[in-house]
Amino acid sequence: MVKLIAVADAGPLIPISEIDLLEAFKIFKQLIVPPEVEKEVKTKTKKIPKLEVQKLDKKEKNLSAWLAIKYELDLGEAEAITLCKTNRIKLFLTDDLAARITAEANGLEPHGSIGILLRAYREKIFNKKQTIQALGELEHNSTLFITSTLIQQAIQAVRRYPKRN
Amino acid sequence: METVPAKLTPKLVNELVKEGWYSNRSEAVRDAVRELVEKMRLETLNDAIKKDIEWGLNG
Repeated sequence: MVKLIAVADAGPLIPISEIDLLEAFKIFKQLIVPPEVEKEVKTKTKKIPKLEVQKLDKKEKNLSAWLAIKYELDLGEAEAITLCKTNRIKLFLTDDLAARITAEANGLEPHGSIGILLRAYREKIFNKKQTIQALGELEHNSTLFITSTLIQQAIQAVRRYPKRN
Repeated sequence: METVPAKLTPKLVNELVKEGWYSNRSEAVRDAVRELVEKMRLETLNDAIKKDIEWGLNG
């Protein structure tokens, strides 16, 4: 298994916790969040494996504030993107569209809840049946905004995945 | 409300008003722009999910 390092926004942490599948985060060797995101997830999630809080220095706080204003982001999203940039970490976890667009514009690779669940399936943390069930729960039992059509696309991709059950 | 100048063929919106879909042309244009924004948002979300699927299974 290739262990990944990422910085996360609250986005995928909350929905994946809501459907009780925190084992999905075992695909990460290190999962960093800024204080603003920790504040948000602390009250809404169970204990997330590998989660590390990293404080921002003054220069990073200034960059976050600038990103938040320029791209109309929440402070948590802006702080997470800042930590990606200053730690040279390309992988940024978010479900927020504006944050995804900003991350891509800043040379990062954003991925969300669906990507994490599918990656966990590929890394054999979940089997095919569990993954398909998880995607359904993400649509119905989490606060993630997602359309039925997109969930079906993900389910079809898992069904077609040839390498394992 | 701020006014945004735009040139368009009157026939396009006049018919919507004439047929009773909207009470005036401004309302029709506002609704069209709202729908366009929503369409673009869903297209962006669609692209994002495709990238998630690719990264999750093959990336």
